[in-house]
Amino acid sequence: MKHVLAYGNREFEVRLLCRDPLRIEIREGEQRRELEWPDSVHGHSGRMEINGATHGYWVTPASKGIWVTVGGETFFIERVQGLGRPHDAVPSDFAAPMPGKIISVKIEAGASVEKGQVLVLMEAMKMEHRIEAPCSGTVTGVFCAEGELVEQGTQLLEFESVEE
Amino acid sequence: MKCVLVANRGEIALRIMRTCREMGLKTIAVASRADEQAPHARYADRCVSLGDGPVVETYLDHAQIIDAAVKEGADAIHPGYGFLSENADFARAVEWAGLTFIGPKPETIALMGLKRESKEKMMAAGVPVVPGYNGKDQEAQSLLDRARDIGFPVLIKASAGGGGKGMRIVHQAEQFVADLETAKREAMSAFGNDTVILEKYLIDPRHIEFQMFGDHQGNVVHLFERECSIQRRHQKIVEETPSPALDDTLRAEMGRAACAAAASVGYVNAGTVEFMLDRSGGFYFLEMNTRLQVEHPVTEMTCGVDLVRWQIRIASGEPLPVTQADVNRRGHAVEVRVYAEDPERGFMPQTGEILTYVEPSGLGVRMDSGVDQGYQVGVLYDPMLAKLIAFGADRQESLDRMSHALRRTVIHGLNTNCAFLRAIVDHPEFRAGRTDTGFLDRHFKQYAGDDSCLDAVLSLCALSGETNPSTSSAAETLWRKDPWTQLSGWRQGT
Repeated sequence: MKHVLAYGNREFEVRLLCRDPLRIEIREGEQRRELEWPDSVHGHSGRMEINGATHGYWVTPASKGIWVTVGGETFFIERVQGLGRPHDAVPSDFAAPMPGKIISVKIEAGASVEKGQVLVLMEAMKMEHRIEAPCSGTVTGVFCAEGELVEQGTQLLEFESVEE
Repeated sequence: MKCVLVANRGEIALRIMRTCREMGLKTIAVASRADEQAPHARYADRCVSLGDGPVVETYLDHAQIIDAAVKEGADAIHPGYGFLSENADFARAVEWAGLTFIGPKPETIALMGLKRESKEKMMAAGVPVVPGYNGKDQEAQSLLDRARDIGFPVLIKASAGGGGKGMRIVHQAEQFVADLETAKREAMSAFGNDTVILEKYLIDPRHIEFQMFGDHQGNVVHLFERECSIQRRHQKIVEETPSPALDDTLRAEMGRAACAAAASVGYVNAGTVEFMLDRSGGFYFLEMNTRLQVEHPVTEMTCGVDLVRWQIRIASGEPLPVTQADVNRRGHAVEVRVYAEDPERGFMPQTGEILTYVEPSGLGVRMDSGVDQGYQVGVLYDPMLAKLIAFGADRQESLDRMSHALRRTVIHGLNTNCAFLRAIVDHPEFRAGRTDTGFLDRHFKQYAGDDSCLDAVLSLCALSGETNPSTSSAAETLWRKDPWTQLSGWRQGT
């Protein structure tokens, strides 16, 4: 069975070739690599030998992907359903970085702004976050209002940079 | 004292109640609607609901909390840290209700909460302070003039504040007004008071604080220092004791200043005198925190003292169990704060359900946690999930122990800073003791986790996908099997 998995912007096709010893094929774009794990690996937690060092591991399947901790690093690996990269839908820089409340909208649609100018202030977990213009440009759309509660990833603004 | 209401939530509520239970005291928790099933609410003998709503209507609601204490027969209230811990009006109201406030006198809290007055008091007591402006003129233009007089960089701080809220460093005069507005807004929403003070910003000083204790008999002792220089946005994330920066002479000198500071206000109960230590060994009084600190466990580990037990005994009128000459410590302890945040994406707070939760254990390892498996981390409260503390015979041993314990800490369901904390603890400059407040900016401006194990991770994903073809989560599966969730809504006699 082929598993299409994504980590950050990278996408992988992973196949289980053999369970004991564990043999895995990983395809990433044009690259293909095959791995064999010397120790037998069983269950949702255990140990794994990686480059000569033994590391504890823990695996938790969740609804959209799999949480894995190996060697003290924790990864969330997304399961990709169907075609297309999961990151096509990655929110742009003007998406709310976290759920919170809009405390101030500093500009109106159509406003010309300078690099670093504060466009929107939001508050979450008692801290203020500034959404700033990444470069000079025009705010072509404003999709939030003062006092509004927004979900993470909500598109707050539309922005066009000025052609240099 | 027979029964204590703990007016807090999360790890600190649990930590306080643990000591209460050890002492045979009954514990009353308070919990907002969102926290009704939280570990602190379930640990107490009884839990009083504070209802739904924002923090001001729950954990900050004086009347509701005092009513709960009276109704449940509590004779004392422990405020923990944050929330009402440094609110003099609350402490006074607790006393008026005939209950004991486990903390300092209300007038001490009031004084230390006002940075201007407290600084004047400290100067009068001969304690060195940082140059700055803490006047009543709060007009933007005059504050800017004052900032110019002090010289940039200047630090804007909320007069009533703490915890990094309402705080801004301003490097240039041009940015001053915009940052002032932000600081005032944060201060207003966090503390209900937008008065700010200005301070000369010392470049990369160390943050050294002394644990203080005073009793009603007028005795004051310190329990040595804690170094809390590893800070992100003025929020401490790694704390240790002893500080690698102090020798015995400087330590004794700072300890005397800290005792003078506490004695000058007739300090009662636990408190902390915070100093900035510059590179030349000059130290300046920063503030006195009139409460138990988040990082108090490192002092407990090295001094062998339960600070909450001392707090309760002193609040009951007992004298301090020791004099300064009897205060001893051994070894080294370090604490890290585990946050629900993503260090690789600007430390954005993370929300979600904890699907897997594994605490480390072993000799010298202590986890003060407020969460468990199935806990929903939301946006309502501080994203700190737990504190991990390691104790060792010396600094290297305790740091090695911390590093390993962090590897054995597993939290799935949302991102945490565990790997980031381990990267700090294992950093050669941290190991060398070169820890000042500029450490993270110098060495961790860009942080990316180590993904050299990615192939192993993908292999485990494939194996897990074959083993458990269902796309539902393990926790969801467990949840369905849990007999408690199989019960119908039928109830009798209610």
